[in-house]
Amino acid sequence: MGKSKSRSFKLGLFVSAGVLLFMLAVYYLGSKQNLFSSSFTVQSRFYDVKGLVEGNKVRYSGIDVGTVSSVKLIADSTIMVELSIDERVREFIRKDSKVEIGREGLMGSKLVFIHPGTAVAGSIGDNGELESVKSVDIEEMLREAQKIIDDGRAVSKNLLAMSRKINEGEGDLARLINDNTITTTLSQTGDELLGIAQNAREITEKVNKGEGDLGRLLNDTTITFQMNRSLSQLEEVGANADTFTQEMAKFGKALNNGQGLLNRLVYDSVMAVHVDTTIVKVGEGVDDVVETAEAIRESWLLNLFSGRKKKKVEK
Amino acid sequence: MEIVIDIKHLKKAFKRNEVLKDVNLQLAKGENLVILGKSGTGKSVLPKCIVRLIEADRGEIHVLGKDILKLEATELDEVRKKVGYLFQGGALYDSMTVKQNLVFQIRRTQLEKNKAELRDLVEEALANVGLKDAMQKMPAELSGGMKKRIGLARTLILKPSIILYDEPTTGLDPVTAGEISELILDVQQKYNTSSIIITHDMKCARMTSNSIRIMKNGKFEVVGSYDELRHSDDPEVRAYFS
Amino acid sequence: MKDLINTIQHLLEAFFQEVGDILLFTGDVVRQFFTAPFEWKELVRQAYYIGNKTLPLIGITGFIMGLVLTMQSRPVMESFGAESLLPGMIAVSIIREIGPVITALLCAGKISSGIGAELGAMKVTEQLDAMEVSGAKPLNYVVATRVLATTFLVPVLVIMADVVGLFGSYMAIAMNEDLSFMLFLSLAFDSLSFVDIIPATVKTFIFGFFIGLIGCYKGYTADRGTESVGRSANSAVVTASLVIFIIDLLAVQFTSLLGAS
Repeated sequence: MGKSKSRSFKLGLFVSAGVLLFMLAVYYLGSKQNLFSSSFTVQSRFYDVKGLVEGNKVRYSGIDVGTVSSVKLIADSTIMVELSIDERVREFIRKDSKVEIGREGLMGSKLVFIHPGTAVAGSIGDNGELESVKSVDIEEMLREAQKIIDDGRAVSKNLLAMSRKINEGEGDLARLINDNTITTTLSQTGDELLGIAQNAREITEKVNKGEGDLGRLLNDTTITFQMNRSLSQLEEVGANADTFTQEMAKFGKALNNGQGLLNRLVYDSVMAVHVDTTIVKVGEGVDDVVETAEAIRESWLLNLFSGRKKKKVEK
Repeated sequence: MEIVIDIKHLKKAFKRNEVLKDVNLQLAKGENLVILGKSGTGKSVLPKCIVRLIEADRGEIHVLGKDILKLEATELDEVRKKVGYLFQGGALYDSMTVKQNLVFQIRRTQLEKNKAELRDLVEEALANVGLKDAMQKMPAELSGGMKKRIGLARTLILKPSIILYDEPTTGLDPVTAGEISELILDVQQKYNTSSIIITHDMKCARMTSNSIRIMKNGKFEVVGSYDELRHSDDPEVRAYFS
Repeated sequence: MKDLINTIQHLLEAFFQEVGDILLFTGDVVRQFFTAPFEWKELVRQAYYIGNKTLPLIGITGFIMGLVLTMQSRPVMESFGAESLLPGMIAVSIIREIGPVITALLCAGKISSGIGAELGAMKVTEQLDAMEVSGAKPLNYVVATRVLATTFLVPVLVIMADVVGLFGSYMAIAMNEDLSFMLFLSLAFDSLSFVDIIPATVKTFIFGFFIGLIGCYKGYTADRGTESVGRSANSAVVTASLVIFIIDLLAVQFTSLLGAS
């Protein structure tokens, strides 16, 4: 009995100690999960670790490669974080890799991200130090996002107002596009020029007839010269109108192809419709200008130097 | 005379309490040996040592020529089959009927027997103790005396050559106790069994004993027949008979 | 002071002694599993008896467990707006932890104590001795069968409790919102993986083994005397409950170790 007592006592002691050791070992393993595989250490300095603690995971491009082995405050604004990293991934951790503290999901625990560096920099050695990156925290991110949304909203509002103004015919550009007053004015100008031409005819007639002091004073050639000059000036006007239509076409194309700043920032179907109508209207405007130019040519440029002028006047 | 149990210098202690100090005993074939002793003197330890329910510390126990303390488990089972043991309360298995109790006892050893033969054996054993009707009863329905008889029947079914009775009459009324004592004698005569009877019932001792041992201080200090001891000079011995 | 140290020393000694005894006993019992003859009839009888005795208790407890757990967790999940996660959460906690542990504790209370008292009584009335003498090993006939019965019955009871518990959980959810049972099941099982189910199931077998074993050990080693029957029943419950928690702790650690690697 005495023998069996000491035997079971020893067995009990042994097994109890074994179970206790197992428990402790598992706790230890839990905090340092890389105990079995060989690992190396790298360090990084942070200003704020945001609640990172020993045992948090380390990820490289989304793969778990190690754990945080220590978090130490080394100066009043510097925290030294040591990372224990699986030996097998050492070659991928470059000297210029960046370390960032992040979070697993929206509410998960903190972890350390290592961002890949460049191959040229070479692999990091034991106890090497990696540069830390100030990470974006969710609050900050939300604040930024809010700002961007506000800006975007302002831009789109401006664009909307702009397109509306263009459509509703306020301002110079709109008037140019929407109004046909210019053509009317041009045709009026034509009419007035016709009147001038008539007057001129009368004058020349009077001059021819030698009526009045002015007729006598003025030389025929001078008048012709002056008429010539006004003609060339009108030609310039026509050329200017041409360049303008070209520019307009370019603008329309740019709007259509979405390469402009406006389209890139806000992609809006309403806007697109507006732009479309604008382009149509620009097209119409261009047509009008071309027509006008033709009308001008036909109406008085040729009439001035050919006999048709007289015909038309007589008519 | 043939000796069936031979005990030499048996020692047994529970922690610091030495129950058996130096026990020497010889049981002859066909003998009824009664062991008397005060309560708590470890009388019940002795038969348990004989069948090795309790491991003795030192000494030798020869049962039917075999050194019990040195036997392997299978050899021990062989010896145990020849040694019947009647426990204090009968020790019937509560969850089984009387019949199952008896069958349980023999099914290990006599698996080859068919149902009819088993039934005959059970009936014979029950008839020996006069309780043929109790076959289908549960132990809880039986009285103390009946339990002891069934217990005896269960022991007898194996036809043992030695029977150890552990206080067979304790807790029974005098009439039933007398009947049990008769039964012990019957068994002895019918099967020529050798028995050790542990008791402090003098009536039982008188009826059944061929020889008496009185246990004191872990030894058998007094040996003799009933009549010899009754007229002993030792007042302590005489005290049992008063 | 010296007394205190002495007492502690004795307590520790007794503790290690007990642990060692239980382990030796376990070894003996396990050896009996592979020793002929194997008592199939007694095993089935015990399994039936244990299952039959415990099933209503486990059913009712499991149902209430699922119901109450869901009702209690609901406000919290609601405040996250995550009621749809409720079935999954309940399923994971019932199947992983609460189902096995609550069922095992109930079985410790019901089965361990029953076995402890039964074997204690058998010991006190020398039935075990009688069996031993008759050549039928009580370890084989009485203990091994009971231990095996609980080893296989407790997992079944745990599965029962899990199922009934999930049903209780569904009832609690259905009180508040209109959720079909099929959707509930799909939500519940979506969040479960084999990593949840297998260790939890393996654990229940070990629970069952020790529930039977501790009951048997306490009964088997009962002292003489009637009051020791009650004592062995009582200490069977206490020891079995303690062992269940220790095994649970080890199992959790073991699982996390497996999960981590």
